[in-house]
Amino acid sequence: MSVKLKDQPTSKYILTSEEGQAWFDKLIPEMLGISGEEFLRRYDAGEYANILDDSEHWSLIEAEMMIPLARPNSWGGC
Amino acid sequence: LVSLRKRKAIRCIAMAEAFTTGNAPSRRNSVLVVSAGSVPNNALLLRLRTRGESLSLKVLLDYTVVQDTTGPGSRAFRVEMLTYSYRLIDREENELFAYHWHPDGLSPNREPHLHVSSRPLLYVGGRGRDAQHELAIDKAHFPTGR
Repeated sequence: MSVKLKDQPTSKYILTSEEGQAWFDKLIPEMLGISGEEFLRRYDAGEYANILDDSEHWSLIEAEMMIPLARPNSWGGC
Repeated sequence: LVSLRKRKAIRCIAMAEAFTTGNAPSRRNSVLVVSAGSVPNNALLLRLRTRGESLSLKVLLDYTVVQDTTGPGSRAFRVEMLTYSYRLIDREENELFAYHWHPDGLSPNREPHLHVSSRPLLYVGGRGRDAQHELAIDKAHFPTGR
């Protein structure tokens, strides 16, 4: 997914659920080397519990911050 | 949170656009800052005064909208930050420093903190390289404010 930027910011700034999902599906493989769907499956299964907060795991921590892209208006463990 | 004014301000430092996943109260949402061009991991290529230098910023943050019950009436809402990560990266994708705050989630470190890079490697100990050991400064969490 690519974006062409205009000289001025667009007036539209809330992503639709489809757009959020598309960004999630694009960015998570770049960060983790697995699909967004696979990341969520492992995340929900608790496979990333107790990871260290170091540079080797920051991609996972950042991926967790992006879960609302795939699950908009979520709460509680994303 | 991502008003037109703030999004114009973002463009002072990088050619980027900002989006959010929503504004429904009491829900968790993300801000997505999208870089122009093909930049790995969606880092933002910073505008620098010095030509030839290349630094990138990676921004991630989550927020929620809460009803502000302290003001007159009950129609006021405010944005509350839930978590953030701001990382500065060089052209080889070496991290220079990172400000993190993730009070819930995967990381066991709940307080806002600063990470600094371990490149070049730092050594501590006695005289001579054999008596020294590498200081893993990148694994330290320096406390910061929110």
